[in-house]
Amino acid sequence: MYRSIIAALVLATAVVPTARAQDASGALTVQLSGLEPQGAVMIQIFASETAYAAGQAASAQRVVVDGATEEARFEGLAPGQYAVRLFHDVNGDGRFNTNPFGIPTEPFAFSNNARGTFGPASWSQAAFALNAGENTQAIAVGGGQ
Amino acid sequence: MIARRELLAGAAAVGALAAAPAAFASESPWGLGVENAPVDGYAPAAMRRVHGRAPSGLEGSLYRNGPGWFRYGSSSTGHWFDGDGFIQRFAIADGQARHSGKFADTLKRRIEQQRQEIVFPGFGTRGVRGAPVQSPDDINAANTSVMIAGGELWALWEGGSPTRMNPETLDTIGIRPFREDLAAMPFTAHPKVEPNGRIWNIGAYGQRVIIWRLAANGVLEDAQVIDVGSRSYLHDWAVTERHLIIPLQPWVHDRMTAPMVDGYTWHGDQPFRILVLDKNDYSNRRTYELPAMFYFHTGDAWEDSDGTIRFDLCASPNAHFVTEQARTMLQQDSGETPSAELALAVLHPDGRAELQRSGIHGEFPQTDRRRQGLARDLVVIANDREVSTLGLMNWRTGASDSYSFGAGQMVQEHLFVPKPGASGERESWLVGVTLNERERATEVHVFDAASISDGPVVIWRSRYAAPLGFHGTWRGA
Repeated sequence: MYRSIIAALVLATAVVPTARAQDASGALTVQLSGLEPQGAVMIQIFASETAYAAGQAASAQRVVVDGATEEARFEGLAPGQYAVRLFHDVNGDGRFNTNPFGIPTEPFAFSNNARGTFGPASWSQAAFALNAGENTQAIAVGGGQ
Repeated sequence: MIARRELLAGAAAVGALAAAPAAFASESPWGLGVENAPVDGYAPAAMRRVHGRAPSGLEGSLYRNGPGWFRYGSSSTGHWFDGDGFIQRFAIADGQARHSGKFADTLKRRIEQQRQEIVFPGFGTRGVRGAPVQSPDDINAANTSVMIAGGELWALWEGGSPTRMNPETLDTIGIRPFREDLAAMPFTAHPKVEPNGRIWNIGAYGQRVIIWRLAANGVLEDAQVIDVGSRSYLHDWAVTERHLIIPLQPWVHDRMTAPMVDGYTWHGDQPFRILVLDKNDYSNRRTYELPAMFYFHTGDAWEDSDGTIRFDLCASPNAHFVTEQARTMLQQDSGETPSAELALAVLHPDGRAELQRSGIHGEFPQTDRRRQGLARDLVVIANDREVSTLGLMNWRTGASDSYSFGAGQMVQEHLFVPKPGASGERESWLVGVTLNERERATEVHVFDAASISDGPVVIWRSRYAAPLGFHGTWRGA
């Protein structure tokens, strides 16, 4: 049941270049909270439902976690619908770890703080409008609700 | 078979239930047993001794777990097995008993209390659309049994981790993985503890099973995943000195649907398989077959010098109770299912298997835990359906003993508690709980295992009527 989210998250650095950056571009600040201060958070952003389903990120970042809160900033994004997904690579091995039955053992999260039911959040749950100028997504990572 | 409802009605007609609430007749016969416990549980309170005297030397605590919260207004769990884990303690000291209770403080319970509705999917509960579930432990009800390990009280479920609690205060410590890479792995409510303290358990997911081996202090020694070749419902199992016994019944999870119980199919034309593994080499295995039957619980297992393996289990003709009655009993519309029959599965060295039926019915089989995996004679079962009885079977002599509680008592699991300084099985007390519907009170009953038909040697009555529970453990003082 977790296969799709694992496939989606293991390649956090796979990025499809976006050629849509225009003058009236937007910037996205992803504010992370609820972090254990270790490892790194791997963040991907997606510019369409198709890309989200295919795991083709428009941009990705790795943010080293030193404190309970961290930030990542993405710039030059064309206004439109986006979704963010991330996992906290707590042990720093560069992979999204699972237990032997395929259940994630590292925290993962989505924009809008969306949560799936036994799997990743859907595009409709995670998608948000990115406007020209400054945009913010505050995402609580791990620790339940 | 006498239906529970008819039995109660009959008792009322002769006046035994004259004081029962008028609403009782229109409610489920299980009504009092599946009502929400108070949100903050029960503060420790003295129980009233209503019969007999406390036997000298009986000192310790009976801990019990079971679903204790079922509904928020009209928002109800869809199955008895999905209620929040409510842990009770019956502490016996100086001839007196005290009763307390507290809910396991799970993520599921915190969110549902906050929202005042049933949110999460469960074994037989659909949950709300889009319920936030990222791990089996997000829906962990911690509601099935308890064990003591490493000075902690663990509230056990079967689909996820143990929930660690303080055995004195019943406060929840939380979930802590045995190892980080084994977080959220299933750990059944039926661990087997060897006489030397070593703990064995399993957890099933599809047709794969994790085999846990823990030291007596609860620290992980080993965990391995094996393929058992069947998606059978796996609630309980058995362990001998040399072997692990995994029954694979023909109630099989063959569809991914919600709720989970709807994904199981009864295959009455298929055998009941029993997988036997060498404790020292899980690849060394044998499979035995018996005719189709359904079971929840085994008693315990042992093997003879010639390699014959024996284990008791409570066998039903099919899965009707879990698929039907355990649902409807929450909606106050109980169907009737006969209780299971105690039987002994015998696995011969030549590969043959046979089932020896006892003729006595009930569930929650218990044995002298000092003899886990070793030869023994006795097993005790509780019948809370047709007639409320406690039954004690002696497999060596073929004799059985029983005690009938009469109408208006729902009898629950009874545990063997060794008498101080004694080593024989019969030199034990049987300590358990009933829900006295007439008095609307939970009671602790203590029997002498040597003569249960003589009736309880002491009964303590609580000021609380607690929901029915599943399983417990005894911690000596």
